[in-house]
Amino acid sequence: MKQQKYDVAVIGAGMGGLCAAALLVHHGYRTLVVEKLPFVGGRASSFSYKGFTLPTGSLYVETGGVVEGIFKEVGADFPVRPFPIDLCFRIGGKDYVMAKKGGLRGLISNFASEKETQSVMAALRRAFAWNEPSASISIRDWLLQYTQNDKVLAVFRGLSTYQCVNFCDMPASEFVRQLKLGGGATAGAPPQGFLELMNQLVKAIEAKGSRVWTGCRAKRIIAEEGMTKGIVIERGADQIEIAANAVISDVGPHQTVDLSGRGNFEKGYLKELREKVLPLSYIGLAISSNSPLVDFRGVTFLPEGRRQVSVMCTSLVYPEYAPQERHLLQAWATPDSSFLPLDPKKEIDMVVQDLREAIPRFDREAEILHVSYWQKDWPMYRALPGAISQKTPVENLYNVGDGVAPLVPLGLPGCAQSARIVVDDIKQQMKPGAA
Amino acid sequence: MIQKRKCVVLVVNEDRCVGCGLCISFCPSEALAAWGVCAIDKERCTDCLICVDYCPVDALEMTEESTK
Repeated sequence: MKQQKYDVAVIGAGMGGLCAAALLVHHGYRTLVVEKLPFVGGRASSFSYKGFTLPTGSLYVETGGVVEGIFKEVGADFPVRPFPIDLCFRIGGKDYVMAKKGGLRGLISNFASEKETQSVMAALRRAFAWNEPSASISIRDWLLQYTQNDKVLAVFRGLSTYQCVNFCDMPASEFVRQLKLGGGATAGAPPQGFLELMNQLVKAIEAKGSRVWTGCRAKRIIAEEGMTKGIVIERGADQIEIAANAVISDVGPHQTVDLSGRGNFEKGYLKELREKVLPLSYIGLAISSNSPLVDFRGVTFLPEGRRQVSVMCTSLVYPEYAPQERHLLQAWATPDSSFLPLDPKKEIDMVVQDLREAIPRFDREAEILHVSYWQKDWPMYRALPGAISQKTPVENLYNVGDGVAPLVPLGLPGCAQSARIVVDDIKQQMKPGAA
Repeated sequence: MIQKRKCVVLVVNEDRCVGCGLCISFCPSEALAAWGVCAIDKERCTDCLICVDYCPVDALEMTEESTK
């Protein structure tokens, strides 16, 4: 078998893997990234389809936060244009736009008495300022202690769609934390698609002599006597042993175990994985039309349907995503259960029925371009933030990505932050050039 | 004499398929569709196997099938 040496080997070129590699390279570590797919970015990438630019997962990225901070630090361009975080709730057939300040109170007061509004807002204020609610209760059940009003509950159901988790499955603690973190956050999307954004990290990595190999499968993580020594990869017809002082896996904690061999992991760790690293299911539809099916330039929630659905006419903000004189409506929905594999046919039928009822011109103009499900081994999130540590019981073997995101906003910032934590640890453990 | 030979057949492992639709997006022959797990239109499929590379969960598998 051929052999090569790097300081660090990274498996998977998603946001976590590429951020980790770019930071390592920036600090002088010779790094190899291997990616099984023919393109980089994982669920933070994009592709062209019938003239449209469609996402593999992420639709927007936080600006001015940890992701942009890493891009700047490693000298990568961050070609992201602002995204309007304006939220509209279509409730009872009418649109309610959430005000930037005092928006939640204003929204609730449309449907509830002053006393009921006060009860909900006081509970939220306590949850924000004093003590988070329990993780043992869903946000729906937590709210039911303060209101039974269906329209008020619909507002929160909409907000949990934004957090990509079913209202009945979202732990109350997590909902409150995300709501708090989301306040005042800004976001954007790359007009040329997420692949273009992620390619900027590849450029930064390769500019300093490190490598990103796509279409290259990791066959095995070499773990011996409680320590990792590198990985074995398949590149074309070759099997290559990559000796490395540290290995970072961005393919999810469960697959990290499979690649290393279960026998290398402590029983308690494996139990934690089973209990806490649970993939979340989600549904996405790309819909084309001749004119915008929704005129609002931000996100519109349809929180009273069979499923939790939100829509945005992304071509209004990013005309680059659609061919000339065509529009792209993107719809996202949480299935009946976030933590179980979904029944694709049933779920999509429910979402389409919701769209037909909520969008007047849907039947006449909409053409469903593409349907995506995220579940099981390619989920919306591999786990809710804070599930487990980035370090594994195998020395110098780390996980990054959404399975090991710390308590920061869901999604890409969590992936990027996990990468920063891992790189900071590697900097403590070993010097560049030790390989 | 009729000789048996092996040919490659593309199949969808329905347990693994998540329905992400990436294979559909990259199929040059529009031979894949999904309204649930992905399905292969055998008439259109040219066995180019590009979809196998684009499947993130290894749900598209090549099997060898005996034909007469």
